[in-house]
Amino acid sequence: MSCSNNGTGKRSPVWLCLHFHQLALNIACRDEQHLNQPLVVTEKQRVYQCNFAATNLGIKPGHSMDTAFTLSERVTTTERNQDRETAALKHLAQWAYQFTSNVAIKGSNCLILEVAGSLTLFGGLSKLRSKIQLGLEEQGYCTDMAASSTPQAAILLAIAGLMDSSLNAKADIGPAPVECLQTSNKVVLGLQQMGIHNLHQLLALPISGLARRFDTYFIDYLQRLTGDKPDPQTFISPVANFYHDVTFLHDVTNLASLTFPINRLLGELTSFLSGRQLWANHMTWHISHRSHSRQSFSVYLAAPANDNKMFLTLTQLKLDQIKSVKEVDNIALSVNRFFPAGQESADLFGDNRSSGAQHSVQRGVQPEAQRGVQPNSDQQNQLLNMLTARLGPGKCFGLSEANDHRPEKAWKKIRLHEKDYWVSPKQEGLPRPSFLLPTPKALNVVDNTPCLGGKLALVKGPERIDFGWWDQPIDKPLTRDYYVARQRDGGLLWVFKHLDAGRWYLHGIFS
Amino acid sequence: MAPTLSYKNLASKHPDNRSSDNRSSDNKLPGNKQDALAALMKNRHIWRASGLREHTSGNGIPTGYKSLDTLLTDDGWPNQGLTEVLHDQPGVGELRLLAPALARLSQTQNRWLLWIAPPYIPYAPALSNAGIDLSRLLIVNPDHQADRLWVLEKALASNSCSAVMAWPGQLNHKQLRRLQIASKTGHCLGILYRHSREIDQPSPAELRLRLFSKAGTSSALSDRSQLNLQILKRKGGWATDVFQLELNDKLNQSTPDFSELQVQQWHQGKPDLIYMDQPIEGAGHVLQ
Repeated sequence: MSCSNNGTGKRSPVWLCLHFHQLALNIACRDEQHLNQPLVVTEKQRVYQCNFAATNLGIKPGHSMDTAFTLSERVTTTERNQDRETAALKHLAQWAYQFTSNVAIKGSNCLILEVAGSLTLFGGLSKLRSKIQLGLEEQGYCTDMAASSTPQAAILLAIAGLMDSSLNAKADIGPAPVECLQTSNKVVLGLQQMGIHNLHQLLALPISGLARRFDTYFIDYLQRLTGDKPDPQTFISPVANFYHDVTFLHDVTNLASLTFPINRLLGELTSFLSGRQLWANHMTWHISHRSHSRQSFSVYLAAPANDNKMFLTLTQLKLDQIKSVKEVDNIALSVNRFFPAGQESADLFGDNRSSGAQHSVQRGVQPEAQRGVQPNSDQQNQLLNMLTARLGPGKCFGLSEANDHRPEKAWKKIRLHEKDYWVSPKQEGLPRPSFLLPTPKALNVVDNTPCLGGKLALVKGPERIDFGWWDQPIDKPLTRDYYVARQRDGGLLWVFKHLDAGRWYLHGIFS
Repeated sequence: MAPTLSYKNLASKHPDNRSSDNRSSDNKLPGNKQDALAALMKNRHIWRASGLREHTSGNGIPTGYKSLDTLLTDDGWPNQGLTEVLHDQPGVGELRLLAPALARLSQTQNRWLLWIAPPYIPYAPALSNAGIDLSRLLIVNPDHQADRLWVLEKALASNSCSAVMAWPGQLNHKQLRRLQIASKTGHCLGILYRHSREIDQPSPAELRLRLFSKAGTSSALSDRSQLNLQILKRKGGWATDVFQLELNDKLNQSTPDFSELQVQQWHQGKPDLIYMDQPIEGAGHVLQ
């Protein structure tokens, strides 16, 4: 099926309608596949929608609850929640935004998509339809889809269940029954009383005659249906943030069984991200229960990505650490910060230095063997992701020198995504310890000699380091003489004498 | 400490460096048996008492100390598997011993050097002076022992670290075994710094070293950059006696070499003269 040109070079529109005829039911069983168990969604104590297993038992929409329970005691019931249906439809509209930018919400359970511009990209209408169908099934929604040349015709066909169409509104809608018209019951009744049962019969009548019998709204609708009148639509605008949830029919007590809904939500996040060409590096999960306060936990990535598997692994790592949750009836995923996809993240792996050249001059190294173990940056990122996910964002860091002569300030932590390395000019003569104490430790002094496990022998020094007058009160000069000192049992230490106070301190260890 | 015979996952390839008297004894056997024997001898799982050299693969990471390399099975640190360094307290030279190898790994491999739970702040200027590329360095400081072990195992097995150095605290045999397997999976130099009191614990590590702090105060000035160490366990060889190793740090110079210092300062302080490569050498001599 291809998009035909109408001769003026302007693309004729192709409207695709997604009719979610079991939206309430689909929302109710999003946490798992309740295929075997009869499930009924009720509204005002009557069956509103029921699943296949319930239909097999003889339950039909419109039955009273008593009838349903008489037919089977195993029926699970849940109350219809229209707010959640609206929210779900909005979410689905956002999801459908990945196929076209022209998405509109119609009524309580329909989406219409103008897809003419997307047909080339997705390889034709039938491929696009199966792609949408598949994506919706993965999320647990079933839908009737129909395409036509006007929005109202597409809706009519989808509701009537007429899936095949020639993309010509007038020709397509002929077999549709008048009950499917999106108009008032009074009009439908009037048509039936006139002996008009399908659109063929209706469209054969002169419009002026119909205008005398019915109100202008209906005539307007008919003209929009056939394409005689333009039908402008209000399209959705893409939302900035991702938020979606899954509510469970039964309370979940085992966190391990959250894997399925988590996977489903992550799948939705992935298509949200790919539809907008975005990456994320931080997501928040909210676990709640009606009788407990909501709990949230965050998952951090070392670098922004759109990788379903990685998200799942990290989420499970986090989930393993949660101990205090007893029951869950709702899980939600929210992502608020995004990065443009494919942008080179400012991480630590910018330079892919080839190792071969240096290997060849080194003794005893076989370049082939070494090259076999060179990882890609995905693998490296994966390790970092797992570390930050389990330990939290601040526990894993790099080191750099800093441009300062004071020992405490001559180094700094580097966060994972930074690349702010500074290398000082080499100073061969000055010893620096491999371990620095976070704060200098005061040493005892015996006979003018500092002691730590016996008297220390000063073996090298002094090296005078004058502390920054710009950071200190002017009347408190800080000048230190640093020495390498040797302990009685052989340990080498970096000690200093605070000249002003005349006290000795331990500052580092030559490990 | 007897050398263990269970070398698992080792490559069966073996450089043909058998000594000539081995070959002459082989010659006495009929052809097919000789081939079979030769094949058997090449199998690295068979330990022969004739010496360390029989088992070398040459794949080790050079330690930077020639005398130490000759004592180690693969002419260097094992490039995969655990290496345990046992010592009493920080400060005996346990990092200086590893520094040349770490510097080399950081410069030749595009993988992390991961330090897990170091006892103090690893001091960037010192590491940089030792030649370690800091952009390959990653420090992880987990709060709990369970997290420490988790990180250790994941990092060893991840194949994204060239070396993992850890101060893991107490470990039982099962944990050591898991770490050893992880380290082989990830082709990673795994170094565990442990206390000397763990010396009697059986260990699946490839290499076990003990570092001694020098007791006594006598002649403190003469031996300050020497390290006393003992190989407790190595592949294909017996434990050694305690021997001394001269560390290549500059701590044994009791006074800075002023002539060197002058040249350096001159070099840095007067950038307009840097193009004069030759005179800098001369200037050094004049100052001497």
